[in-house]
Amino acid sequence: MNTKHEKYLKKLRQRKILTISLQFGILILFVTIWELIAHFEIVDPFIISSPSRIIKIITSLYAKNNLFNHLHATFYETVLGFLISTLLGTIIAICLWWNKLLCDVLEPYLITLNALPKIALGPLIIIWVGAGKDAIICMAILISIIITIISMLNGFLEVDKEKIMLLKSMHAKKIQILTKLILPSNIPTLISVLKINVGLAWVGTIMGEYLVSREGIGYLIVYGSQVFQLDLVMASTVMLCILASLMYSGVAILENIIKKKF
Amino acid sequence: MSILSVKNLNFEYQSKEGITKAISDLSFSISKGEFVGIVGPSGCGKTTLLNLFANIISPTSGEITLYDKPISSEKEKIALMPQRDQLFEWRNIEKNIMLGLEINKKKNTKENRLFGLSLLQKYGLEGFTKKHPSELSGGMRQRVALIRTLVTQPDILLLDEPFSALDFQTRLNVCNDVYSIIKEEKKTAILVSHDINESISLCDKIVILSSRPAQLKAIINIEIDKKLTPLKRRENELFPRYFEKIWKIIEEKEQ
Repeated sequence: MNTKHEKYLKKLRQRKILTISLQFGILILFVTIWELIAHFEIVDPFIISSPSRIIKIITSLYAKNNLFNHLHATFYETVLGFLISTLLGTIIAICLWWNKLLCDVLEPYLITLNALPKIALGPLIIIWVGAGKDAIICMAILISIIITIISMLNGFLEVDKEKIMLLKSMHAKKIQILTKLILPSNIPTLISVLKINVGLAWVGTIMGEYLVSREGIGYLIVYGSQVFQLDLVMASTVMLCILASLMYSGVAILENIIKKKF
Repeated sequence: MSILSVKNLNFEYQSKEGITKAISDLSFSISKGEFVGIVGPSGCGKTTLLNLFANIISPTSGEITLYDKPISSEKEKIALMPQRDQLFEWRNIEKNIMLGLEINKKKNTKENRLFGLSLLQKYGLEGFTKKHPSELSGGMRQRVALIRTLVTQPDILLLDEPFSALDFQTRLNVCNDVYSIIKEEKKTAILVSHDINESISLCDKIVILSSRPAQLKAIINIEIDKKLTPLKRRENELFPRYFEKIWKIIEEKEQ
């Protein structure tokens, strides 16, 4: 019995090792083939760049003391956009839950705004708030706030009616129903909203940087493509991949902490 | 001796289709310590009646009184045990049973909190105070739900088909548990259920309602030895006779 279980555990472990080594294998294979194709000029490295050129350009950015300025600018805009849209969206969802009339009145507007491609508002935002960091943060907020409101509100409205009835039978006030039931039971909704918003905040920020900005990763990508320096475009994309997945894992860690508490 | 009476109770509600009469001229009373079942065809307004008892809605006319005072002024003396246990997954067992106290700050005394903990201990849950509901069996969860209603020291317990989510085996056992706890704590209880067997096995008296609008059809006193547990009552020779009697009354066509 015991040895059987040990065998099973061993199998699980082996499976995990296999998965991880395959994941790394694919990455290494991809990078090597890319490097080889560029090195032997099977495809012009001017078009596809190469891993070694990417490393070179990143180190040169670092040497010019520019690298962290760009990373910092983009990261700051994204995190701010992410936090503001999640917080503001949740607060608006609470107001809509609280006031049924407000909710009914605003429903068609929310649906329209949700369907609208937010990027279309870019030029307007630039005129209204100016062509700077504020416009980029606005873009990041705009792109995720509507979906935050809609997801949170749906979560609030789906809370078990019998649980509400239980609280009402205890003569709970509306604010108590909100704080003791609606909000805590929607922590899982909040986590899934956070995960969606991490992605969307990056979309908003990069879009915003395409439109305005004088620094940041989005700026490097646009600048690189305009001067046909594809090494820079590729290097920026790689850095973007790393930053976005770091932020996503941050949210995943937060999720684990919260899950343990609930 | 009656502590709760329903006098000429009427309730109607509005919808797009018009006004629907849910309860029509209903009167009956309940004595202290009695376990009363309310049965009737499905959709007859049992839940409406329960909401009226729980003070979530008010009657269109007529009244429900507790100790001769309208229940709207006595609402703290009534507690509801809802369908399924409705424990809050994000709270541990101790925090779940203290929910009623948190909401009604006046009752949030050290005495009541200790009373809650003593109930957990008394009914075999002392090792689970810091556990979360998902770690408990269906039967234990049901006991916790019952204790949550007892913590605020109500005079009347409302049970809304409390066992409907349990499998049959668990249901019989939980039924025994709940019955003995309610008798031990000397509470008056009102059970709303569509399960006639369950009502006979638990109740001293069964109020039979007609289909909508709910009117009183009959009140049957169950005279099976009160000392028997619900499970033993099911084996009593009178049990099938009561079942048949109640079944016939429910099925009987209204004039």
